[in-house]
Amino acid sequence: MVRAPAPAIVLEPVMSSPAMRSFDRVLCAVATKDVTVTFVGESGSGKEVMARRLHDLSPRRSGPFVPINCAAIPDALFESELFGHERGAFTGAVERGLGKVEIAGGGTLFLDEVGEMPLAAQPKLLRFLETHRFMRVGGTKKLEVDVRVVLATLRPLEAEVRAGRFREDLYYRIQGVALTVPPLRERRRDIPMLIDTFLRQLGAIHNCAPARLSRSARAVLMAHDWPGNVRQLRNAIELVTILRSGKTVRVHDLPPGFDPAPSAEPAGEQTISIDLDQPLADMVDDLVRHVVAAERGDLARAARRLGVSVRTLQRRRRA
Amino acid sequence: MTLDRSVALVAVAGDQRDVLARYLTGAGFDVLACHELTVAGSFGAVVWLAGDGEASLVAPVRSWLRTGRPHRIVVVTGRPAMLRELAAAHPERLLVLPAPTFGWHIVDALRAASTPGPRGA
Repeated sequence: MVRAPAPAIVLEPVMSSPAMRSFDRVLCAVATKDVTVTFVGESGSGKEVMARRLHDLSPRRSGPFVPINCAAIPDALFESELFGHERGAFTGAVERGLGKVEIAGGGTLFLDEVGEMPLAAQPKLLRFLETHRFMRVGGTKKLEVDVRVVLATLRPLEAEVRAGRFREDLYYRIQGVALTVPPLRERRRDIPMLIDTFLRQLGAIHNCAPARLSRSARAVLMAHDWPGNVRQLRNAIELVTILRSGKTVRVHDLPPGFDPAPSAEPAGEQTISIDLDQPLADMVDDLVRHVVAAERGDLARAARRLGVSVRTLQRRRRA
Repeated sequence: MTLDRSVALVAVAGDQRDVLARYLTGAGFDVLACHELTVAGSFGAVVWLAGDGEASLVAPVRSWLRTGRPHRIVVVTGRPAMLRELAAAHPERLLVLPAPTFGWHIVDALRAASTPGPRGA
């Protein structure tokens, strides 16, 4: 059998799971509309990747996409970082500097971790969102720029407003469409493709042959809860890429903290919880995944346990 | 066709090249897709999707770097280490992306070379 060469480019994130497909349907619908979008999601879940996809699907895709992490900029520099500064505006401002707002002209400005934005800068952002006009620090002239603002936050901003860390008027101004990026544990069907992508990419980055994951190691990764989401998965794959270059990765080669399976005991009473609000096919997938993980990737034993043939099990896993 | 927006997309003919060409066009570039590129000087940038079977990545890239144009060369490869030295010697012009890479990393690499002037200043 001739295998098609693996793609060198990826134009959309991995989204084969029902949770991501449903998320993406909404994202595609809002991308072309002039509405403010806020991505809410756990750390490492891929909010910036989704913001980039939103930009790529929007009529502004020929303009720049400019990300800014509000948590990473010192309070004193925030205004200058966002709106730029004139020469001599402050000590060290030896020449005019453009702010992110200006650089994003015609495109998308992505404010990541917007809940961490300094309180002092919030009224200026509010004014800019209302008028699309701003002044550089130390400037006297109002400038106008056409930019779409997209935001992201780890937690819903209501809690920040209640705690007095986020202005209520700004909260209402930016309240548009809130899209919750599913955590990795709710999109397990994407894990195999993410693993394969990271194995190739990290092998290339570190100049080593990609490692090969054994079935049992894959089953453990599939069953893990991933509190650090896609970023944590990438880090785990990076470690095995470096340590097991070109070799097979077994369960004991995985970084510490990866339990062999939810339950490595093949017999005895075991329980799983199933979300009753999900489609039947997803419930079956959950069940199959847990049994395969419990059998440490041994499909023959998993099939016996489920009372189906190995072929049926394989078909189900490919579906 | 404005010169700075002109991009030669060098890749084996196929779906991947077609899809990337459409993507780059959508991002505002004037794209010419080709299988080989001997004279690169008439393009603002070159994007090369180098297949794993390429014997040497260095020779073609070195030949493109010999003249002042293209301003930017972006190579997507599963063997980025082969171009490490060249990339270090030409950081302003050569960017090597490990495959697989997101299409927008290519766009960002191209734009980094031709940042448009501010509007409304």
